[in-house]
Amino acid sequence: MLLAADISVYIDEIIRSLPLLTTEYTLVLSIIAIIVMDLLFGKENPQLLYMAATTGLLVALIASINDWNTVEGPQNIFENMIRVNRLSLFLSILLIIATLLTILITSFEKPFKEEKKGEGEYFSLLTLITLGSILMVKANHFLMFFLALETVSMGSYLIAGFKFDRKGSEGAMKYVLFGAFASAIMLYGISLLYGYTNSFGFIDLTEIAAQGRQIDFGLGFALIMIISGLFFKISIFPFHVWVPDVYKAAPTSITAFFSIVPKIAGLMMMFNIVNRMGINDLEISSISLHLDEMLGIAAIFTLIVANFSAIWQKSGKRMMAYSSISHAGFMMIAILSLTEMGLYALLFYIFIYILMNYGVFFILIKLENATGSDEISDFKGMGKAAPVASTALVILMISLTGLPPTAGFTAKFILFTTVWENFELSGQYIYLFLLLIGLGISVVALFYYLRIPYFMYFKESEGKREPVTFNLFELIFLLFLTTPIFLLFFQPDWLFDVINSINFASN
Amino acid sequence: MTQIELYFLVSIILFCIGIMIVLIKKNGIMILMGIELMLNAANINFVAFAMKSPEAIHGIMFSLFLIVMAAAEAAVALAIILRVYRFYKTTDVDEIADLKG
Repeated sequence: MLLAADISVYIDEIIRSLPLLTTEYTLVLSIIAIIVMDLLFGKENPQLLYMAATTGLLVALIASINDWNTVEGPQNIFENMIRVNRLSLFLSILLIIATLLTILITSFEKPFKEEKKGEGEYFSLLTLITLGSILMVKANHFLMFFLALETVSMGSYLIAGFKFDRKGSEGAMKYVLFGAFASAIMLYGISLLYGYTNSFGFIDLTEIAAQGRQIDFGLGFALIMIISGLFFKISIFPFHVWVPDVYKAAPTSITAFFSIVPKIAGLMMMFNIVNRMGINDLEISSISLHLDEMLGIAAIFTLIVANFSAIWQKSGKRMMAYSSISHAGFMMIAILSLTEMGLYALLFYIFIYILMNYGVFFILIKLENATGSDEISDFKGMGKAAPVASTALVILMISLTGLPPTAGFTAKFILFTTVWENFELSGQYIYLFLLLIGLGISVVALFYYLRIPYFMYFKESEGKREPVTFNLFELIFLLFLTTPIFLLFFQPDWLFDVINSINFASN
Repeated sequence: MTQIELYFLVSIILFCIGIMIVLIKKNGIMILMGIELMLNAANINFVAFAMKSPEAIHGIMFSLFLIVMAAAEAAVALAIILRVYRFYKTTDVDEIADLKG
């Protein structure tokens, strides 16, 4: 029975919680505004929709930064459904910046300039996915987490088919069938977990587990099911098969978006589950499987499979899809870390990866516009025709491989240092394997990353290439993405000071 | 067998049937139906486990949200499959294989 006193308690709770979610309200309002504006005057001037989406995201960015400056400790709001802390706010800022970059590179992509089709839906779906991702990193309850995940997924299914052609629809269909299957499995895992723990919170399972941190098969199976659903979102082996097809079929700017935004949300969820529920320590007794070893082996296989498949790719977009799987593997290694350095390494890696990834996809869009395809062999002779793009691409590719003097090297260096510390700390050989495979794989990565520059510089094109020009705005955008890659190599402290202000213990 | 165990048995059988359908059937819409069965299996679990939980309302609330979510997902998936049908004139997942590499 609800009493009047109870109701006033609930109302107080809601009033206390409301001011902490200004980012989300802004995004919801901007989704509605975009839909209404599309209905009223989307046909005549679609430029308004760009402006509406950008304005909404900018206001949301300001709201997040404002929260970042004011929120000190973690705050559980809405009856522990949502947890706002500095970590989730930092990630919200990154997610919004990534979406803003997506909107920018969308404006360079040809089909969207010419066809003028579905722009209202496009921008409202982009904003919707961002909203879902932000809620996902803030979720503190499995219901909240699952609804946020489904918001992200359903938006992604629709936006994957936005090329409106034969292949686009095929990619969307593969995505929706795989995705719905993965989320159904994850959901069953959540229901089993509820049966074991009677709770939807991220409770510490090491307290439930018996002596020696052992859990029985059913609970372990439930955890594996939940982790599989997350693996699908982050594209970790063996749930990565959908990635190349979907990334190839989607518009190029959406490919860039997919390899950042839903992935960050999934990774952070993984981080939360692994650390808060103590999955790192658990062992399934009946088959004596350590869950941290299982995650580690998945990361190792992700690295191997992704990098060796990437070598044989002919299409630049498919290659970047495998590259994004491989980077997900590297970030997975950071999640497995036992110390707080792992989190800092992960955040640093994510930040650098956003810059590199959007840079590469921006140049791919320019090359696609010039040559009309994304096959690597069609980029022959581009080194002379597009000197700026080629130089920038070489820098970005070196950074993606992880060689100095770029920030990609710094990110990998911090990551591997963390893994080595973990090996010394725990003495588990899985960390040594992770380190060795990670280092070896970086050499393999050099082959396929430098294949595009190789074709651009050392192969002559058959016909005469039209020179690819950049206007001032595009040059500034490219500089904005590439200069931090050098700056953060020489001065990583600039970013580290920000990241260090996230208190690991209070998360 | 207690009542909860019986419910759990039903849900496991449903879940396995769902997985079998997804793995065996080639028709996109049939696969979707298999996924719906899996979702409903989880739904039975939520309601059944809520019987023994001290905070029963949580499980029941989850299943309510789940019903709505399943409907939304089916709508999205059907729309996409319809679009595929327009291009390929089939919904057989083996024949829809232009993307390779």
